[in-house]
Formats: sequence, C-alpha cells, structure tokens
Amino acid sequence: MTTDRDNFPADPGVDNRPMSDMATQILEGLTKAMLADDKVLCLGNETETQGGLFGATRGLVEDFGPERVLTLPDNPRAQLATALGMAHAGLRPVLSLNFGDDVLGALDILCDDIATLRYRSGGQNSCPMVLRLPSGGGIGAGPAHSRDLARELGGQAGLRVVACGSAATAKSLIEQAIRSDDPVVLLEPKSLYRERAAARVAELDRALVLHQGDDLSLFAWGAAVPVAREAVEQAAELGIEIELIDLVSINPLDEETILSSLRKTGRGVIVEEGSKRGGIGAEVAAVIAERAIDSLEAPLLRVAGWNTPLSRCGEELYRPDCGRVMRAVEQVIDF
Amino acid sequence: MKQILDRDGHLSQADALTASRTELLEIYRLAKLTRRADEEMLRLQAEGLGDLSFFVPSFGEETAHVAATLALEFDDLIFRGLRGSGIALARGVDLHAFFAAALGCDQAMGRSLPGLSAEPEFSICCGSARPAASLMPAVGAARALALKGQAQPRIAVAFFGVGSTQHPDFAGALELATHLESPVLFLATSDRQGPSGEIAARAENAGVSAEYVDGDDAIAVFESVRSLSQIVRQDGRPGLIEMAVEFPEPGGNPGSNPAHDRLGNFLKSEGLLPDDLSREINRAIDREVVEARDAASNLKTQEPRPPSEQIFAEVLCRASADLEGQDQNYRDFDAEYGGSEDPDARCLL
Repeated sequence: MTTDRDNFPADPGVDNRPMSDMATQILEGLTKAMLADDKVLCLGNETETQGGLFGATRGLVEDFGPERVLTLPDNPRAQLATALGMAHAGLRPVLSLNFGDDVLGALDILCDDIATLRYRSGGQNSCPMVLRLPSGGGIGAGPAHSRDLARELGGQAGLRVVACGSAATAKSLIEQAIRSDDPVVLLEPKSLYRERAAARVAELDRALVLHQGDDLSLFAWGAAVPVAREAVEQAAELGIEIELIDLVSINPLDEETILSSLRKTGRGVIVEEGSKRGGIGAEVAAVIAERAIDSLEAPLLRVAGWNTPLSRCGEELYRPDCGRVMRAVEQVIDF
Repeated sequence: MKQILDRDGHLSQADALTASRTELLEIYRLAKLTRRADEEMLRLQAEGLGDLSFFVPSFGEETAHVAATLALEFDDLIFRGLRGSGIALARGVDLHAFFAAALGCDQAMGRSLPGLSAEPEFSICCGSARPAASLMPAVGAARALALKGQAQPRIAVAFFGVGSTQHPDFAGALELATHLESPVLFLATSDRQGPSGEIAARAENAGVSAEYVDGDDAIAVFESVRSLSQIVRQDGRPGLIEMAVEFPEPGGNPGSNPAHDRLGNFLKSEGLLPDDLSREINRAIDREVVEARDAASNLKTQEPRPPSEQIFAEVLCRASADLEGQDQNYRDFDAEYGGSEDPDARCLL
C-alpha cells in the first residue's frame, strides 16, 4: 500500500519540488517517453497535435517533427483505428481526443477491436497504446462535452482505465501508461488541467492512500479527489479522521487497498463525479458488500453526480462538492 | 474490367502474363484446397461439432484471395475479415491448425470466429468480424511500416467484401489513406452481378489509385496485385483493386466454380495440368482435409472443456487481482462440482 501522509495536505513551503499544472506534467511525461523510445508517437487531430485544447501537447511537434506528432483527420473512429493499426505494426501510439465524449462514436473500435485484441488473438497480438481523454465537467462545456467516462469504459475487459486525481500523479501515470503493453485509457479531468502540484509517483494499477485516518474511508478518483481532500480537512476540524483513497485505477480496481482501508475504519463514503446510477461507485460498493460486509458499521453512502445530463448552467450544482460529501460523512459517522 | 483469361480459359493478353508455371499451379491447388476446406467446415458446423458455431465460407472469392495473397511479398502485413480461409492457407497456415482453431480445440486460438485468428509468423493480423473493421487499422499499420523506413519497404493489405463498402468507415479509410499517404493496398471483392466497378470508382474519386479486375480470372488478379502492390510500395501511396467475382447462387450448386474452371482450362491447354496431375491434386487435397478434420475432431472429443488458464489468460499483459480471484473461484468450483452428475451443479460451471 502506498501512503502519502507526509505530503498531504500539501505544504509548498516544506516541499521544494517544482509545482506545475496537470497539462505541463502530462507534457513532460510525453516528452520523456518520446525521448526514451522512438516507437512512441503522438496522434490527434490538428488541434491536438498543435498543442491541444488544454495545452498538454504544446511544442511537441516542434520538438519531434510531424512524423512523430502526427495530425489525423478529425474523425475519432479513424484516429482510434489508426492507433490500433500502428500498434499492430509495432509502435506505441498515444492518441489524444479533444474531448473524451468523442470516443462514444468509436466504442466498437475501442471495446471490440482494441481492448480484446490480446485475448482474441491468444496473446499473439497486443495493442500497447494510450488514449488520452479529457473527461468530466468543470469548464461549462455542456452535456455533450462533459461526461465522466469512468462508467462507460471502466467495465471493459482488456482495457486499463486510469484516472488522474491530481496534477501530481499525471506525469507518472502517463509514463507508465506508455510503457504498458496493454491499451490504457487515461482519464484527465478537465477541471484539473490548471491545478498545480509537485510531481509524485503513482502506480498504474494501485490505489493511493492520500491521507490516513481511523474513522471513515473516503474513496474518490479523478475530479472527485480534490473535493474529497477538502472534506478531509473540514472533517479533521470536527475531529473526524478520514482515510482518503484515490483509486487511480478504475479498471482493474485495487480491491485490496479498498478493503484494507474499509476493514480498518468500518465506515465508507464513495465520491464520484459522474452520475450515480450504474457508476464505478456502485462497483466499489459491491466489492465491499461481497467481501467485507461484516466489517461495515454503517451503510455505505455514495456522493455522485445526479442521474441527469450535465447542464452547462448550474454545472456546480451537479458535481459533488465538499458540502455534499461532508453531509454524507456526518450521516455515516452518526449512524 | 481488366481480364487476361477469357471465360473459357483462353489467354487474351499473352504479354500480360508474368506468373510462373509453379505460381499458377499453386494458385489452382490452393483455391481447390480452400473450397474443399470450407465445404468440410460447413459440414462440421451442420453436424454441430465442437464450438464451430458460425463459419463463413469464402465460396466464390477463394481463387481471387489466393491469387492476390500469392502476388504479395510474404512479409506484407495482411488484415482480413470473415471469408478469409484462402488468404490464410495461401500464406502457409497449417490445415491442422486451421481446423483445430475453428473447432475450438485450442481455446486461446478459438476465441474469435473461425478464420480470424492471429498468424504473426505469416504476417496476418488478428481479424475482426465487424464490417469494414480491417480497413482503417490497415491504413494506420501501413503508415507505421513506412515510418520504420526499412530498406525493403513493407505494405499493409486489407481484404474486404462489398458489405464493408456500405459502411461509413470505407469512405473514412480512403480519406485517411490519402491524408497519411499510407502504403496500403485495399483488396475488395464485389459481386459481378452488382454495379460494375463502383468500388474502384469511389476510390478513384477519393484520390486512391484503383483498378477494376475480373476476380474470376486468377491471372488478372495476380498480375494486378503484383503490379499495383509494387507501385504502392515504391510510391508510398494507397491503392485499391476491385475484384468482381461470381458468387454461388443461393440454393445453387456450391461445387461449381467458374474461377477454378477457367484457370484449370488454361493450365490444361498449356499442358501444365494433365489429367493425372489434376486427379492427384484432388486426391491429395481430400486426404489433407480429412486428416486435419479428423485430428481436430479427436482433439475436441478429448478436451471437452478448456482448462481455466485458457479462460482467464491474456486479458491483460499481467493478470489482475480480480481475474486471479475469478480463476481461483472457477478452479474451486470445478474441483467441487466438476465430476458431478447433477446437471444443476454442472450448469453453474
């Protein structure tokens, strides 16, 4: 289990590592991987190869040239299929879509062709590629460009799905994703692109314990992590010691870290950005119900987006905030 | 429509023939072998043997597929969809492995529909059963092969049928191929009873060099593929060949094959296929197919249920904890109830 007691809450005065935003951390990870391995190349439409909507590929084409930062037609199906073909031919493509929602029109390619390639070929073919998806809300982009894709992609066998929970882990995660021999979806919460933090190491398939506590386990990932951090601080002022787990890996789930924490605290709250019905939070709750129900001293509660499309106006009312998390924490503690 | 052999097997353009005697005989033999193997596969499917749930034969297309495959360089990377038996056999895939995979004897190789398995030693990628699914990945692979800058350039080749051309990804693949200047060769089989040369015309309109060829003329297919593949290889640009073939009519005699007959007549007229050689080829094919079928059928009988590692392996490059847990669950359940005669207990497996 990885712990981070020393680094949380972040204290820039103590921590001398340079702070940078998530887009920059991703750019640094991409640059490092491309320097280390000439099989790595970046793909995307013109916007993505010329810097990206969120700036995570800025300067790459100048540094590596148009053959390794390859502009594709603005057709996500063509982009995903190109990445698949390139992986077949021995390259390690990193494909960036403008918005994660764009992948919905190409789910057959992602789920039927890319995710299952290793399995259906009996291990004789593989598809080492990274799909970078700006995910979730936070920028007022309306229902077609604000979906949290953890639910849509998190149950697909053969696909690793990883969510950046902070700028701090983004560089580490993209480097490992590129080195992985599996297809990896990297969910990059749009609301975190400008968050600044010092880089730290996270493992591709391991949850991070961001804060240790004995009273309650708080499970979060992606854009919900900063909200959960805030709740941890507020709860501490009330004398409630929360153990905060950043799942990091949506598929596969690090079930042992989840269960270990829950067995210690006996209480749990799950926070997710996407809508509640059928979400990853339901999967986490099911894992706990199957394997640790006798450790529970109170019902598990989920704090999630509403079961509605995400509205551009009033987005902040849809996404979980610290107030809603604290209300759930108090309900579980008082049970 | 390009034609070198007329319908009776007479050579209409003698100077267009560059294929050797050995190559022509091999096209003939492999096309016959493919037809015979496909027929046997359908018979097994009708008998309900093994896991052969859904087999799509290549009746009518096999001669074109074989001729096209033999015209390519061996390490050109092939993407195929359903109806690809002739492609695999022409590349040298073992007939025993072909039947064993189709019957699900080797669970790992039998996870996809028959004919879609990966054959990396033969430069054949794992296929997809969805229409048009091989087209755009072939473009991407071709671009990747070009980026590698090898002394002997390789190309990617996508085989597909007319159904794929109705899918939006066909147009997407043409656009992508011209955009990326990918050395990819699209090989489409169309129904000669359908619109004439429409696929080739669409490709030309998209900026892809295209030819419309009589797909029942094995020599025309061979020569066109050999010629255009070299252009694609040297110029680093995409090409397409539409091969119009005669499919067996529903309810008609599946054994009739104008493409076999046409090539056979030509070979006979040239003295390359005397009757005794023709009979020997047919006997050898029968023997090969029956042996491979029986070997696979026996394996299937001996191994009725796959071991757990064939179910849980190769989902990810390293087994995840949840898969290890499910694998253990399967083994525990199998150990407890695997020998049970109770059908309720067994069905849970």
